[in-house]
Amino acid sequence: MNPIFLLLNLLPILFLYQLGGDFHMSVPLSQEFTLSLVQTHIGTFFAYLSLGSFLLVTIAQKTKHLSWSYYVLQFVLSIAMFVIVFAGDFITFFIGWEVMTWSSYFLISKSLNADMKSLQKYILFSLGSAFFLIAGMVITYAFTNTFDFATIASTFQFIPFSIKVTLVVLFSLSFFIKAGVIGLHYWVVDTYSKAPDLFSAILSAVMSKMGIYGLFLIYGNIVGFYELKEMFGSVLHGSSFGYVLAWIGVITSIIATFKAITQDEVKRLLAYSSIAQLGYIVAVIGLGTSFGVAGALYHTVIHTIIKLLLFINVAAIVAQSGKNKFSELGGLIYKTPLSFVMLLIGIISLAGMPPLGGFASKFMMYNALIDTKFALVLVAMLFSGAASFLYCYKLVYGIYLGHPNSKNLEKQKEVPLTYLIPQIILALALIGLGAFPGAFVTVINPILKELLLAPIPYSGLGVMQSVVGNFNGFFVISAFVIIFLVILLLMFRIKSKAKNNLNRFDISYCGEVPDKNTSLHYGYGMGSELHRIKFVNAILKRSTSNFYESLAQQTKKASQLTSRMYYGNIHNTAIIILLFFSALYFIGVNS
Amino acid sequence: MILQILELIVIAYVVGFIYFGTYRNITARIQGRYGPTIYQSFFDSIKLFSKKSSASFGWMFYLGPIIMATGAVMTLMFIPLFNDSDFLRSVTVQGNLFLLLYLMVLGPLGNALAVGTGGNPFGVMGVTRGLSRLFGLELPFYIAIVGLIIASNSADIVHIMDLQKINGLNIWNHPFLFIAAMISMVGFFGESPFDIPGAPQEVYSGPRTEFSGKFLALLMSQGSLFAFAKLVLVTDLFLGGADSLGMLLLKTFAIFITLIFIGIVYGRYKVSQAVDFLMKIPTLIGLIGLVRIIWFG
Repeated sequence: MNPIFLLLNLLPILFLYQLGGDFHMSVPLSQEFTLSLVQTHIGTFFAYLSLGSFLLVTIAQKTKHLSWSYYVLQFVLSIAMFVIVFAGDFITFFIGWEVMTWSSYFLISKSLNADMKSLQKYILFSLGSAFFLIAGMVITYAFTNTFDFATIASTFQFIPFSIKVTLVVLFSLSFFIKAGVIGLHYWVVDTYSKAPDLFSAILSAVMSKMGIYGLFLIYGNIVGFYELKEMFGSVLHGSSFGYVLAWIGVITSIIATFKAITQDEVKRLLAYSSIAQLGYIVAVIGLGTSFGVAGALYHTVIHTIIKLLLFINVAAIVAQSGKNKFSELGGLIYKTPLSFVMLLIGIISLAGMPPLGGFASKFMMYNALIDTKFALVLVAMLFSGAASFLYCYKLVYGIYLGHPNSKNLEKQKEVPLTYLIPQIILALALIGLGAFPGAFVTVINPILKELLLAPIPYSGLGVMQSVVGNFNGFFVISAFVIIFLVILLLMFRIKSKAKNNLNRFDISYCGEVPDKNTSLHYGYGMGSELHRIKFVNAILKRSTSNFYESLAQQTKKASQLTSRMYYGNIHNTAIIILLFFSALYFIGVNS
Repeated sequence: MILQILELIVIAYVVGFIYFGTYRNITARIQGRYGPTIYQSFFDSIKLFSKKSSASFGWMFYLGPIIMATGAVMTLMFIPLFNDSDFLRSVTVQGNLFLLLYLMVLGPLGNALAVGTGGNPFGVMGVTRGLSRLFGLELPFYIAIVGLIIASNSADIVHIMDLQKINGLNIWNHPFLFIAAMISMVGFFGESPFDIPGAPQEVYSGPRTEFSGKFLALLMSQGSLFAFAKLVLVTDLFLGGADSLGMLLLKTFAIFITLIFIGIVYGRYKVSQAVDFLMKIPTLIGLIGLVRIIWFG
């Protein structure tokens, strides 16, 4: 924890709080363009989310390992996100987007594990995202003569249909890359696993959410959910655009879930899990209904909290033990009990089980899908949720349960308090949201109003209402605690002696006696049997890497071809340049 | 309310154990044995509560079975026992079907944690097999549940039961969904084609390997509570619930006996075979039912 940078990270939050509800700043760049920051409800929502995450991660960061430049870059990154979420026009947005790209690139390159390949992947995909964005921006400008969001929003419906579709696709692709939708997720896993351990938390919890913010910006603010539905027509009870997006999101989550289960490296599992969870958000964001948007926002918050918690937890364990694979970890439960409890709270929420916060967001998303009668999507989403139990269990078992797989784990101690403080705050947030799922509805409703959607019903902090049924989070969690305590008390009353057995060989082992060389930790093998299931194997053996590798090969060949024209002979180059410019001239004259 | 919860637990406990006693008897007769008395499971559990546990592996091992039992009691609470009655109505209105779906996996999570703490590789292997089986098993079940929710436009179980009084039983209205749900149920009951997690010959009783004494007794008791809860759930969703205890026993027993007769005649699948099967035939049957609901009312 570096106190100076902690304060520095606190500043934007205080600044935001001080500004109150409504601020508007603009700096004229030239006669035509102005840079502007406009506060919106949704912007404020994402700003608090990202700034809060930066604050918590800064608490966990150890001073002696990190240079000043690291902190400065991280601060620049947080300000870039501030600019992105409050940008009032495309130029400001793009500036924020680019600053975010390079500052995060340098931060990732500061990791000891970072290799050239993963860094290149990251920067190439970020550039791809920026190119889609700038293409969309330019086309929008060509038809509306402005970069200002509000003006574009009011004139968007007059743009020709084919251009509208092109714009939606371009912007979607740009933000899909950041959110890691399947097919465009190629950079995600390598980057998350190679980045500095605590920076992975930022990448997964906050930076991926900028993609989600971008989607909200395009679908909600600029195009408008109503217009989006009108443009593409409707299917069942929802829009066809939403239906396509829902399938994209759900397929992303199913594939990523199965991939996550088979990973051996802890952070790779979390990276895939992150892709899967963002898939849920993408699935409901396009529905354009109140519940869809509310579910997406709710899950954004829950996912941010969970992923911060899990990545900080894992970072602490990796820093402490120096191991980052399931096949090397294990058996830490009684050595780091507090960490274990924190991770447990995280995975229960990640799996979406009731007493904790994770259930409320899933409930909201399921409702959104029922509302639009997208039953098959809902089944697929539930299925992906059921499959995710396996990687949740692998996470907790592989690190904390079973027997230690490496010798130095025997002397492990509880992780430092700096790592635990943010985890405890996050875990309390999860428990709080579990007990009072309605609390968040009061935050969502102003945003829905801003996006011209009907507010979702609200009746009390503890209750979450929906189209098909309600549930009372406060009742569920209190019932759980009471019943748990009663059974605990009863079990405690039943006196039956048991010897406390912590010797690793003292287990029933099919009548045989395990010795030193017997591997007793199953974390490594977990998930390997999935390859035998045909459907799952079909998913697991496919990979986008072949596609991108061959794309890279083709690009290399093409560039070799081009370079052959250039060097060697200066005359040829001169002729080519001459021809090129004369061609340009003729095209210019003719048009 | 508390009295009613206790009453509910006692009913579920006794009925669950008697059903399991019957199950053991029927299995024995089919295999040409006499089998134990109907109350044998009940005696076993009482006896086990007073037995010494042979091993304990620290607090998580202790808490796991308790979480599991809590999950079973919670599941039971949120399923309405009778239609048109005030019996625990104040509890059931606090939840809905989605909540129930997730409550049902809370118990297995507690178990999995305890098993993991025990550190027995066979136990963890069993849990992993169970979880791998789960996503095959849940698929047809989810299809059935989602189909019912869409058809009744409500995730409220009481409402689904009420609707059946007007529209007729769901088993006749949505037979495909019922078949899909029943095939899943065979697995949820640990019956034979899908009894993968605790297969004694392969993984040494799987998840239960390390448990003994009062822990095993608690696991057995929660098992019977949970089994009863699942039977009542199917009764509520497809058979319109029951008005009296006699009717409830009749309906649940009918489902139970169907499930065990399916279970007895089949051999065990491998994990991959089971999931492959579940993703094909029951899923397809369920999908037919679901598509029927979405596109043909």
